[in-house]
Amino acid sequence: MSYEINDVKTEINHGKGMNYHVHDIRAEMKKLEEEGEIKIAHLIGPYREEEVMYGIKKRVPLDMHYQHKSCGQCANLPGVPRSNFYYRDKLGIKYYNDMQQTSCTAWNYHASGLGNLVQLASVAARNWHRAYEEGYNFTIHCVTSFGNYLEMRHLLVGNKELRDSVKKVLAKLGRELVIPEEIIHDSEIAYALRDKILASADPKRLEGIKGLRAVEHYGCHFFKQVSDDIIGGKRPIVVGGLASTLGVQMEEYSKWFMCCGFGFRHILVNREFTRSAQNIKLKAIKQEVDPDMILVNCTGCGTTFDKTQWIQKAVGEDYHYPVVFYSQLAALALGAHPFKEAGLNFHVTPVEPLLDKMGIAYN
Amino acid sequence: MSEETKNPITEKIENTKGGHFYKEIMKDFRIKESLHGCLNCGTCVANCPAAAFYDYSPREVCQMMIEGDEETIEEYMKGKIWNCAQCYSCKYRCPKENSAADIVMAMREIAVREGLAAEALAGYTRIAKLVLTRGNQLAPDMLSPDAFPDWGPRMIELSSKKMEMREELFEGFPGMNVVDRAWAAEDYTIYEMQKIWEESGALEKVGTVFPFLVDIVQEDMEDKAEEMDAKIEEKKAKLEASKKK
Repeated sequence: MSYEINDVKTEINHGKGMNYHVHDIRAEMKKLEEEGEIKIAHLIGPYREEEVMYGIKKRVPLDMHYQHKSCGQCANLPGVPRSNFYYRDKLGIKYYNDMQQTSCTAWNYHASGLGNLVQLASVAARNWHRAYEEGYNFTIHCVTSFGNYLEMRHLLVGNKELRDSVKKVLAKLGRELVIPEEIIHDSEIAYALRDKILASADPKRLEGIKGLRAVEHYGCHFFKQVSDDIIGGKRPIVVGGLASTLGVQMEEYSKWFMCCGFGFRHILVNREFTRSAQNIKLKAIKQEVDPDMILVNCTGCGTTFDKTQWIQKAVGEDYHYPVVFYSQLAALALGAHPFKEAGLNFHVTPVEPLLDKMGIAYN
Repeated sequence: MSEETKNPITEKIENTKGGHFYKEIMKDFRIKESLHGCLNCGTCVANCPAAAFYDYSPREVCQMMIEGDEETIEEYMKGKIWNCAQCYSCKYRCPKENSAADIVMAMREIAVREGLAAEALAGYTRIAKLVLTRGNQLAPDMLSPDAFPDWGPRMIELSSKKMEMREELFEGFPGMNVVDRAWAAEDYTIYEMQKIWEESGALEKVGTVFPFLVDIVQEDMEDKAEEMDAKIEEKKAKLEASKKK
């Protein structure tokens, strides 16, 4: 069943919820800033407001983007960071690809239990401070990092003991606790820029995109870990929103909510779990939609969907759905070479049939 | 979460029941946010991918904590916690806003600290080493077809051509075309990361599973300490000066 993006914008929950939760993190941060407890890295330059839960407006910065990279993307799906750079270059957006940043280490943490909260929050705060001292808005490529930074902000704002411990660690590095005003994933930026991307797109490319049928899958850490800062309300809309703006026909499938099976540790040491979870997702996608592509915004999910289709032959299934990130779609629309500039040749599930359908040459 | 609020459910149990593991878990401040009573409705189980394939239940995780059931807690500590996919579907769907995923995370930390994680973390050495010596968690070199034969024949082709493919993709983007790490984080940056692990007590914890890694990191830090510490001192002075302004 195809759907319009406004149909899936779930009702915004204006309820107050339980009293031991911060529901307006921005108000709490403002209070702590006034008390001199924290500094806030306020947004720099223009922004666009998008509604999240409780009717709160999230401000998405449209320029001066510090590119906090994803280790999984850079190592495994390098076309994604390259596409993130590409669409910014095309739209004239200033960005900073810093080599003084580290991984967020959240993949390690969730997979292994190595590390602790002070370490995890200090790594987050060190990366935030890099963007602050360079004068950029902190923006995030990876969904695991995004969920982790939302959580670290939540815990640092809500717990003085953790805050003090992190401040002590940072002081030993000559740094201070500066929390970004907004924790922003790159797919939220692409969504906020959707009209600009459409206006700057190559008409021939749009012709090829028009009418493609796609399903979307969001990383669990994008909307389940800290779920009150998600554009659209209870169900994310940014990937489908961008894609439908560009002319893709978004299709509904029953297993949209289910985890892809990445599992942090499972993808390394228990892949029979990953493959089994994938089989459930892929079966529903095939039986209910049989789309031209699967659209994603998450490093782990993109990896899992792309790498786990071939092996399903072992259970008599034949899946062949190209896995495309939101920014790769944006880059293609803006005229990127599918391999040299969008890096789709790094995917193991063949993308060539999709590119043929779109009329895009790749050799 | 507010600093002053109390959770009557966890406080009541804290004072009456539970053994060693239970008490250790309760020390993690996240637990107060993760348990608000349980209806036994099973919504979490219905949405849990781990429950679909393993003997693991997020409902049981919440129940054993609410009951202070040390026997079941121990069973989870010694193995079942590693089945959780950390997807937080339980947290998202729970009508009481419980989070079994957060409880499991606190338990994993304790399992590592108490030396119960060696088997679960077998095969994890390369990731841990990369985090502690390169500043990021994954490298193109780690994705060899030998390690991932189930990823199909195209992985073999990609693996053999990765250098030239990356060179073409990242032309004009310094620091991105590397294969022994995700990007070329600077030495000073890696040193800062190592300092964080040391100062936060996380490095000591690594020693319970990978003692040799602690030696590697400490040697690495000693080799560059003089130069890097001088840089940190400069940074501290700069920060102090900016505060005075």
